[in-house]
Amino acid sequence: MTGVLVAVDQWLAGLSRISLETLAAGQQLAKARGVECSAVVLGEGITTLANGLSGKNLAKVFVVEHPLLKNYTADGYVHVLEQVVRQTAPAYVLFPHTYQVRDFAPALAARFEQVLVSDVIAIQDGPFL
Amino acid sequence: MKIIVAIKQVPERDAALTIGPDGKWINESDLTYTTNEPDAYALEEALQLKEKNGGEVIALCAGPERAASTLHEALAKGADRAIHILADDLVQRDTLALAQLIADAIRPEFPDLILIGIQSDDLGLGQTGVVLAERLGIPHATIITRGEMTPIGLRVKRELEDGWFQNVDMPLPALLAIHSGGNKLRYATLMSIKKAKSKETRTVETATSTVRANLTLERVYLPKKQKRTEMLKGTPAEIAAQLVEKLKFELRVL
Repeated sequence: MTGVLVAVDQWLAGLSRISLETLAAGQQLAKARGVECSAVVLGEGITTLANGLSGKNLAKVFVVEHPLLKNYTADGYVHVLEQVVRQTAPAYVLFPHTYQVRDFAPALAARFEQVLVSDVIAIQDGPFL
Repeated sequence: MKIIVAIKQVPERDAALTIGPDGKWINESDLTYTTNEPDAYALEEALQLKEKNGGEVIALCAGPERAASTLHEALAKGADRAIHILADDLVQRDTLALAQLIADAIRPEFPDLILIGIQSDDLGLGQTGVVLAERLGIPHATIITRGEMTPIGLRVKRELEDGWFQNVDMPLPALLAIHSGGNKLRYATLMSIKKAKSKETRTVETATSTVRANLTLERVYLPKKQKRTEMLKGTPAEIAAQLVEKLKFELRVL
């Protein structure tokens, strides 16, 4: 389990502004931990969005495309992201704090017997880092 | 239709909060408690769904002895019966553990619908409902202002970012996290307050939590208040440019 994975949010055919902030936070955390930072984006017909991520200095960009991901559903997002997280095994998964993330991320964390830490405004070194 | 409404008892909004001696929680002794506001709206939505479609409304609350007053208020407003998960150590339990307690208490009831406020006024995590649905293996929707029955289940109105709304159809059983303001809250009448005394409350005892929480609260603190005055110098055009710069990148209000 290494690395930082940032799950970015699509909003009206683009990356939400808070997604960019989350990418920056992910890159800072990865740098501090000496690990790689990658990103994942879900949807359908999101090539442009995915290409936009390629210039963001990320180790990898995972793109999951499926017709059932065209419209957001909590069930679909949890199902897909659970598989992505299991396969990529990051130590940290970061999300932008949006209404959509608040709708599914607590359930995703529960699948890993973890608690989502929400409303994060800063990350500091602690006993577990 | 059987509806369970999960309600939390929280400190009054205008309560003067002070940090406890261990720095990990607030002083609880001199606080007055009330029903968490979004949960009051969840109860109202449940009562209206019952009035339209028939059925039963059960109010559920996890908390110490004092939480009984919040359940009594829900019964007085029209809930048919109550479930009190008696626990003194909720602050030590994380969302997973709390959701597990609630899920265990709910499971034998086989409800068609579970309503819960979108978040609590005290911790404000907004996660209990979503994790509860996950633990029960039922679909959920959050930030709901309204729900109505359809032949296949439920149609709900969800709030999205930037003032957008979304209508979602979902099957039952389901869990909805209700947003404040979708309905007008009712008051309990004198008659219904009297009647509430004869309504049943099931008490669920809990063992002291032995599971190590995934998340431990290290310190709670009040934000530091600081006033800072900064003079911007230059020509009016330069000052305006500096101001825009600060509003955009330092304060991020633009």
